[in-house]
Amino acid sequence: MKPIGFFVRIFRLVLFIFYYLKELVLSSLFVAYDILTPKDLMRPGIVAVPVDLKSETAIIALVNLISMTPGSLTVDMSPDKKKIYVHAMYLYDKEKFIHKIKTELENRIRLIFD
Amino acid sequence: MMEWIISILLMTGSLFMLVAAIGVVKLPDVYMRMHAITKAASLGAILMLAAVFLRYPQWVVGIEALMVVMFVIFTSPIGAHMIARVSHRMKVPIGDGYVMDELQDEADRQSAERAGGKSGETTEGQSGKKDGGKGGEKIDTGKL
Amino acid sequence: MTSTEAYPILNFAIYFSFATLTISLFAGLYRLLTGPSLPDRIVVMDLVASLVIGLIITYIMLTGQTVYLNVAVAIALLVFMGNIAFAKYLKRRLDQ
Repeated sequence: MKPIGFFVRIFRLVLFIFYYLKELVLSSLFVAYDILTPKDLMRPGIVAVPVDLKSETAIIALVNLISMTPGSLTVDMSPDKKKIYVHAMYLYDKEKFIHKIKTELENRIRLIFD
Repeated sequence: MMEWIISILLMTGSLFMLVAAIGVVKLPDVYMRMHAITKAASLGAILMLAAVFLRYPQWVVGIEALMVVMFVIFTSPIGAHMIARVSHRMKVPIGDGYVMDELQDEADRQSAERAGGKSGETTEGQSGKKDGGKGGEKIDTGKL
Repeated sequence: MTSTEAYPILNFAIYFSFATLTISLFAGLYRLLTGPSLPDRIVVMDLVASLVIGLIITYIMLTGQTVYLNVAVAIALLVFMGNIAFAKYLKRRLDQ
């Protein structure tokens, strides 16, 4: 772990909390919309997403954040902690889904915890 | 003016909870029901707690409301994750229209390997031990 | 008794959310009775905890007794413990 400045980390953590709240609101609206409309929209599935975070805290934060993003829920983790199995509600495009998790969530977590 | 904001927060929160309950009744399998609960119900609780803090702006109320919000935000995904994991291991049937289930594919592959191995008993014992160790790690997720 | 009679809109909102949460409780009861598997019923426990937190908050708004927030804190803690206990129990039953 490289010694980034302590205050930089705290600042990023605060930004991260706001991002988390935004994701929570968006995902709730998304799920609400989906429940109240006929269920033709859904394409559920369970996808294996590779992760390369090292510390336990970062992985826990990633799992939590995945469960809070719209239409995804962590189901299981492989024993060597290289893959996370994510249940997705709208799986139109698998590559796009994995790419979104890798770029939006994992990089954000890596900047703070790893 | 303030009472309008409070009323709207209260009604929106309870409507989100109603949406979560409708989802629990209507959605086809366990995982999707958990989607509805972890998101809609926790947002509903947060909105209603904000309403109660705006109605009674005191230190005690604010701190306790913040505590409830933190518990709900941090613990509901972990609980949902643990229940989802164990229910997938219990082979709870999934609903119709699934596109893919890579976890089930992985489990099938492993059990095929195990059946193909020479000494079935020892590998069985090892895998059981591995599962126990993994459960021990999982309880660590409560540390957050 | 009520501290909200000066604000009709707030009064309406309180009774509205009482009605909504009660309907939601009945929906949860339906799933509890007909849930095909055990995890379905555990999931309902989570939902009912959220609904009870909502009911407590609505009751606080009605009476002004903010002491009851302690109950909400306790429920929010207990439901997490309950989830973990159920998950461990199911896993142990599965391993046997």
